[in-house]
Amino acid sequence: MNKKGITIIYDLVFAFLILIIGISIIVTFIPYSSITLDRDYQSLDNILIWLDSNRVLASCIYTKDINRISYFLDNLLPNTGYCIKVYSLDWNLIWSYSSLLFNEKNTISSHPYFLSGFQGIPNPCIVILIISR
Amino acid sequence: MDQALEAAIAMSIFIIVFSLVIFTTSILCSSYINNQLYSIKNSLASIIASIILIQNGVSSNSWESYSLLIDYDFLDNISYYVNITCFSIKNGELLKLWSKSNGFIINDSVGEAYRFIILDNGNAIRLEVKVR
Repeated sequence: MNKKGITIIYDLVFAFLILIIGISIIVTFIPYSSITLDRDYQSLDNILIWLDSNRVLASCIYTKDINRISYFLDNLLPNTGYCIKVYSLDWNLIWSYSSLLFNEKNTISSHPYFLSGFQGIPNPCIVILIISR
Repeated sequence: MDQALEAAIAMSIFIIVFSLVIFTTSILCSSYINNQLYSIKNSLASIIASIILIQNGVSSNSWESYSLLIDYDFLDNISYYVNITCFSIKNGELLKLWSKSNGFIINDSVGEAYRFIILDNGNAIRLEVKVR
């Protein structure tokens, strides 16, 4: 086999490699822009509002009562993966909890909620409820 | 002989790589179509949930007396499951006050929509719609 033949084979391999990568990128990127919308779980931010209006959310968040918050969310979001993240105002993560069904690579919705403090003591933080498919 | 060997190798490489390209493309395309189908069904579930939400608003009486009879032309040939659950919190405990569904349980749903509504009496409603 002469040198020209080997060059042609390498060219072919290289060309198809570029083709595979190109098609993979194009086909992968086009659909996802249209499907990862916050569509399925509209108005779930009401969960945080409702829990807060019943004085449950602040007590769970500030005392880091994971059992209690997971009890409420397991009942309100059955068969759904969720994650609670609590941030300080300068966006430092204070703590977080993920349910067993939560899949970080497949999140579909997130809802931030602002808490000002607990039992009259100002201690603002941001609670984010993230839901996965 | 050399040229024949080169042609054979080039052709076999071409066939292998072409098959790989077709295989990859078909997987990605089927994934795309599935996602679009999910998207359409999710939208349908969302429309059903929105219709029920518009019909009842935040009135607790309306939700309690609501009968799950939806009869629209666009829902012909579509299986859907609607479940409404009313929750309350008393003394820090979550209470399930009542639950109603249209009876057609769908385990292998394609589209889903959820709504969580705070009612005028302080209770909350979880509305779940599944479409196949």
